[in-house]
Amino acid sequence: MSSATHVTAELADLFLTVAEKSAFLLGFPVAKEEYRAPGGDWLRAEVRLEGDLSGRLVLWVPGAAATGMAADLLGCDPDALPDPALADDAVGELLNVVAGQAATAIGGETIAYRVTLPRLARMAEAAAREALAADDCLLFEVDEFPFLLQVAVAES
Amino acid sequence: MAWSILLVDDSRIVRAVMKRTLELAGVPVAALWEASGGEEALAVLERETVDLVFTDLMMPGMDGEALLGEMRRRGLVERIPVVVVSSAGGTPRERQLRASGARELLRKPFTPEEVLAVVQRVMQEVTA
Repeated sequence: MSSATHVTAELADLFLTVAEKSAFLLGFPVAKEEYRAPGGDWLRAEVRLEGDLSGRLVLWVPGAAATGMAADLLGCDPDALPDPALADDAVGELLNVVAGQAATAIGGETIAYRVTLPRLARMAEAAAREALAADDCLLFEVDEFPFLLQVAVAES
Repeated sequence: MAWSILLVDDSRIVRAVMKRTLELAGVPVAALWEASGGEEALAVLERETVDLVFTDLMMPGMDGEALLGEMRRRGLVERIPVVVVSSAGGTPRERQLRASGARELLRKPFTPEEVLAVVQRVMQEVTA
């Protein structure tokens, strides 16, 4: 295991598996050059790992995709979502599960760690585009929306 | 036999997914209560007859570990099994949670089959 672990193909597979299993989302990795702005705002979720591993994971999801995800999970129409905050909730939960799985994939079953509560913020598209340019950022197409995942985790 | 189940999670989405998963798994449910945190869960436990608790760990206010500790202090964990539902795993963490009174650790993401297996195992232990 490297001391500074960044996004790898293994983590990309892990993300797609978790997205499908926990949120019924189907996706695939996409080259950064193929990024197309979805329009509207984005949800940025961040969690930190503490313990034997430390670092952060950040997930960027277009607002419309987040609303659709929440509606799917609740079994309702996106227009009938009872509270817009449920979209934040859905994105935070997806990242939370990805973080736990990523920590085990990176550090193995014997490590001790905790995942912090997700911090969420609404962001403009320019901020997502800036994140996409970072080395630790991976781009996916998920249900026809771009999703960004940044992983920077190292042994403490 | 159907069971009375308490779901504890600050995320409304997670509680909804858990409810749907219990249905898909075919877990016989007599009553289902929800709490968004430890304090609310304790209030339900005082008020209602609960057979099984599923709780998240990371919650604002009284988190899952504190809830487990309080249930243990009140002598509840011996008769009401607690299943900790968490995205975080690892052997040391699991050992620590079991020592705190958790019967099982259900790792996210989970399938209906995994949920059913956990419920059956835990409830068999209680009724044995």
